[in-house]
This record gives sequence, C-alpha cells and structure tokens, in this order.
Amino acid sequence: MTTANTPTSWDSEDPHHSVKHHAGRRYLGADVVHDHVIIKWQTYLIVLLALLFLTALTVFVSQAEIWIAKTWDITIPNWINIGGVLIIATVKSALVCMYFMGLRYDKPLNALIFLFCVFALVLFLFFAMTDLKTRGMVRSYNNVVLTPGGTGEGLSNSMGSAGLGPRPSTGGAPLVTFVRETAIESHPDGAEGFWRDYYQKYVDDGLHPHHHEADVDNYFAALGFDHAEPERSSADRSRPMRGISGALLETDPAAHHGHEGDAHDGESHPGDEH
Amino acid sequence: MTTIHTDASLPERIRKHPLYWANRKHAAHFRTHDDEFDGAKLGMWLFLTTEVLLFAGIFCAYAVFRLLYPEAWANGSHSLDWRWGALNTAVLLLSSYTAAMSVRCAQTNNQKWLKLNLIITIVCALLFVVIKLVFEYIPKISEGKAPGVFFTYKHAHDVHEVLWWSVYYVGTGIHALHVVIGATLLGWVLLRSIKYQAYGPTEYTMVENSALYWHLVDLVWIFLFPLLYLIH
Repeated sequence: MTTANTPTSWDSEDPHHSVKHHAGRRYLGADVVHDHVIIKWQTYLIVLLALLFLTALTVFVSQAEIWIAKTWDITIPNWINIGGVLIIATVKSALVCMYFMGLRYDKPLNALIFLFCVFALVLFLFFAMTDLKTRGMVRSYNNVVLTPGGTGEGLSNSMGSAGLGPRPSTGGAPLVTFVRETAIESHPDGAEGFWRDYYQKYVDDGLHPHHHEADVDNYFAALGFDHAEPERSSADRSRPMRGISGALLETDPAAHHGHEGDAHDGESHPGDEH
Repeated sequence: MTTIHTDASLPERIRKHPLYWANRKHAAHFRTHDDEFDGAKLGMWLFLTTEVLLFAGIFCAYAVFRLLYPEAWANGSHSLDWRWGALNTAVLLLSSYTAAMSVRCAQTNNQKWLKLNLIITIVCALLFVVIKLVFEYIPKISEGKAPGVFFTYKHAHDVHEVLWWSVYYVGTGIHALHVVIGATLLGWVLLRSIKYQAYGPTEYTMVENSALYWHLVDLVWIFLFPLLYLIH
C-alpha cells in the first residue's frame, strides 16, 4: 500500500474518524469538550418546559372537545382529537430523542438504528390496521367475521380448580354478562333495583360529565322501551361519549330483544314510567 | 492526551480505588476509551430498539381491539381519570430532565449534583409507581375492574370491556416494570457514585446508558398517556 493513495488526514489510530467525530465541530445548545458533546443545561431546561407545555396542550385539546360538545352541541370531526394528540405525542418523543437522549449531537449510527426501528414499528402497525380495515373491499367474503373472543366465555371448571380465577365457571356466558347476572340475582330489589343502581352509578361517578337528554333516551332505548336509534360509537370516533350508550345490554344492535333481554324480562323497569 | 483534573482533597480510599473514575482503564480489546464508550452506547441503542418492539406489540393489540370493539374502548377510556395520567406524565418528564442533567454533571465532574439529580430521578420513579398503585390500580381492582379472569365489575357496559382492562394492565404494568428496573439501574449508579465517585468526565458510560433506558421509559409513557386517557 502506497502513501500516495491514502487521504492526507489518515490516522492509523483512527482510520474511520470514529473517535474524533465531534472534534472541531460546533453545535447550537451544546459544547464539545475533548470530542464529547456536553449539552448545555439551558437546552435541557427549555426542552423540559416545552414538554410540559405540550402535555398541557394535549390535555387541553382533549378537554376542549368535550366542553365544546357539551356547551354548543358541536361534534368536532373525529380525526382532530386522535390526530392532534398523536401528533403532539410524536413531537414530544422527538424532543426527548433529540435532546434528552442526545441523538441530535450523537454519532449518526445511533440515530439511524433508532429510526429504522421506528420504521419497523410504523410498518407493523400500518399493515395490521390496513388489513383489518380493508379486507372486505376487494372481495366481500373476506370481511372479518367477528366471533366474540376475549370475553371470558370459555372459562371452565378446570380453570377455576387450577386457581386461575375467582369463579368456577361462567356457564358459557361472557364474563361481563355472568358478573352482571350474578349481581342481579343477589340484588335485594331484583333487576329493577340493579338497573337503577347501574344508571345511578354512572351519574354519580361523573364519568360522563356532559349529560344530555340524549343520555336518557339512549338508556331507555337500550332497555328496549324506546324505538329511537341510540347513538353508537365507531372505531375512529373522537366524539365524547354521551352517558349510557346504545351498547348497554348488547354489542349487536340487531339482538336488542334477544336472549340478553330475557335475563330481566318479567321484571318492571325504570322505563315503565317513561 | 487530555489532562484529568482530579480532586486532591479526596480521601485516599477513593483516590486510590480502582473504581474511582480517573483510575478506570478501558478494556484491552478496545483501541481507546472513546471506542469503548461508543461501543457500549451502540449496544444500548440496539437494546432500546428491542424494547420499542416489545411495546409495539402492546400498541398493536390496543389498535386492533380499538378497531374491533370501539364501544368497549370508549367506555374503558372514560373510566380513567386524565388527571392522574397527566400528573404522572409531568413526574416522568421531570425525572427525564434530571436523568439528562446527571449525565451532564458526570461530564463536567459536578459530583454533588450528579448524586442529587440521580436522587431526584429515583424519587420521581417511586412517586410514579405510588401514584399508579394507590390512585389507579388499587381502587380499580377493588371495584372489580381487573384483567382477564379476575374481572368482577358488575356495572360494565360491554362484553369486551374485559379486553380493555387486560390491555390497560398489560401496557401500564410492563411500563411500570420498566420504571422499577430503570430506577434500580439509576440506584446502582448512585450507589457507586457515593461509594467510589465512579463516574466523571472520562468514565460515565453507565450513567449515560442508564439515562438512555430511563428516557425510553418516558418515551413509552408519552404515547401510553394520550392513547389510554385522552382518546375516547
């Protein structure tokens, strides 16, 4: 190997200039000392304040939406809240990565590795979501057929005896239904008392701070005493929920008067006075 | 070569200790101290990518179930109080700041504030876990809003709310586990810092990598907070 072909800055101790990466460079908001970047405390403090501000902003965006819906009955388009809070979260995480984790001043390989990982994450989520949403668009028979999974209806005696759960069996019913029916049976006022408490609890807890006449309509509609179509959620909704929703008793709107209703048939309902 | 300013007033026990930062030598198979530092940091970043992919699975489960069972997700989100989430976000952001500052203090050989920043970070970590347990996990579990087979909440709206609580507990639980691990790492750094002054301008790999881990915990929470508490 001849010296003529080697660059003038050739350093046999540091052939790839990996050691003296920062030497002689200048950065905004950081100092270079002996080839180590020392980020100024003022930079860190500004980033912390920006992050706290963005946290307040994201809460404000979410609360403003509820307030606007309650006060003026204006439903903000559903992508604004979801898109808004996710964009704010992305900006916040970019600030953490660039300044707290120092990627902005670091050797580019670390940032490259992390960005590639973010790319893999986006790819993963994007195709999973696209698949779920668009399966039926080309061939309708590819539409997702929902089977009720994850509801605990497969809980059996064997699981109970293995000590995995507090109950022996749900008798083939979803866990939520099983727990509810057990509570109805043990309620001193029977089904009527249970459903009165049920609605009162949601009012008392203040879980839905934006009560509306529609709440009451929804509640009775779900019990089957009103033929008005109850308001329902959708996957991409960001509209704040209004009290007891249409899915009070059933996930399937077509089955409102189905077996689920039998559990408290023959009892009087709060709806009778309606 | 760089001049190392060691503190002559240090007790001899520390000044002569092999773990005192100025006495640390890089491993024989590295060319320089900086090479060793860069290698360790690169390895830490590779590890952090696997951590991101671990949480990616939880985020994907959240998104899939949200798309399939929006009613349960809306109900679930409404049963969380954003104020505890926001408070915990502020606690974690502050601790991330002090973790970053502890790296800076090691770089500038500010031993006193290195320890103080580490202490503040660890206190914030404990505060996070206490808020999560006392104001969120315990009241919810005692109401019956527990994951999977332990679910006994009789006022649920939707049959799939069990799934919401499973995703909630798995997501925040694995995150809380990371908070505890991160605090343990930083506690170890603090201990070595107190006993041997083990970290300084030429030797702060462990401070840097523990802080990176801590920032990742913060990063995950930055996304968990709006997804669980704010989007309904």
